[in-house]
Amino acid sequence: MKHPLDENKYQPDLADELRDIGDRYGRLDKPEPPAMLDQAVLNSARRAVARKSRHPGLAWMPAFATVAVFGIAISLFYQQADDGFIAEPGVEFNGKLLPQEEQEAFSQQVEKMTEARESSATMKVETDRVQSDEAVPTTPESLRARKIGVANEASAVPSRSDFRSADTAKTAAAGNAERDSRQSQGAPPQPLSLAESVAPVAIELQDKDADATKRLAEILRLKEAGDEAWKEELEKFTRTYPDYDLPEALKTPGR
Amino acid sequence: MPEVSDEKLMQRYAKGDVTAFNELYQRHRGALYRYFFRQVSDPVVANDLYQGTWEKVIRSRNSFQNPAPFAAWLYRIAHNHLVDHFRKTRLSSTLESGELKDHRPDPSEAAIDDEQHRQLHEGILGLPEDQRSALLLKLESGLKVQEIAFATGVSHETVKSRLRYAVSKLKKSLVT
Repeated sequence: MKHPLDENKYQPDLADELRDIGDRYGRLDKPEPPAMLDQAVLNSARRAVARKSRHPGLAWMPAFATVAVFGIAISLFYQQADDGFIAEPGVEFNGKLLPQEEQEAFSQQVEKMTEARESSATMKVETDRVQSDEAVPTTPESLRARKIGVANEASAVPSRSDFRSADTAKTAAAGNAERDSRQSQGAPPQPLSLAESVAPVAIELQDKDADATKRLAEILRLKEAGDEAWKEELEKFTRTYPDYDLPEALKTPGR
Repeated sequence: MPEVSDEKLMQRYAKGDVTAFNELYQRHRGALYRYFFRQVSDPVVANDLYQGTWEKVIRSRNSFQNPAPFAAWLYRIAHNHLVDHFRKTRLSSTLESGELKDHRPDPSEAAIDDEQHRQLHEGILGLPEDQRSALLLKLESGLKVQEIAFATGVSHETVKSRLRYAVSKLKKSLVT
């Protein structure tokens, strides 16, 4: 391809004249740049390239580092701020935060209490269900009839409450035995569960009910037999169970 | 093995090849220096103009475009640098106003060997700046008319006209 700056042909006479002048010009001396000047130019050329290639392709590094530092600082700031807002309060005792281990122990204890509370609720529901199975009388008459009937059967056939009392006693005794054995083996004493702590009270109430029933049956038997000792027994009974609703047979004025 | 072109060398230097610049410098150092030396005839000023031109070449290495011959691009920078120098020293207007004889260098300082060389040297210095520049670009640097036009920023017809006037004046000065 022809270069755009290719020589255009100019008039031949001018070319001849230039050739003649050029011959004479060529015979002039040819001064050269000083060596010191050459060295200065070459050094300058070398420095210009060295400046550019000293960190090739790393011109973005300062900007990137600046942005990264700001990003990390901002994220740390927000993270600490969030921690401050949502941090769970530590367990305090006498105004001081407890150590981490004690806080964990406290948390475990709270969990156990929650579980015990749930199990007691379950037990209450179960107890209500059993009592409804027994058709507990709500009116005084039906209650008296039930107690009299129970008293009559008491000496011959054990009541369901007796079985229940026995079962509960067995369970409590087993629990106590297990706890005693654990303690005798050197294991640290463990807190009683709610079921274990409620069981003796239930046993006591059931035992009292059975005892009252038995004693009423005995008083009725003495009265029917004409033994005057029934009055003395009845007084003892009312002292023992002042709130107990007596059957009609024992409420006679002549008692 | 064919010689690597000036343009290729300049491109290699723009990419960081210092040896390419060394080669390029060796090719053009003498002609460029004499271009300035014949214009101002003062070695100190010629040195400054010469070094300044190469500094501009180094700084402008990434702006060099291949379609333009390197020599034309180099002498365009040199010519503009020289014009700036003339503007600053008002030498250009002084030369064109016919006060050349007052500023002519001592022939002995220019180391002219014989009378004919002295006459030629003085004749070149006595030319107007634009004609002298066109003539030196032709005789010393060997540029073509179109390249001289590119370097000096005028049309090639203007270059031919300046060359014709310069040759005519030189012949007269040499005969007399």
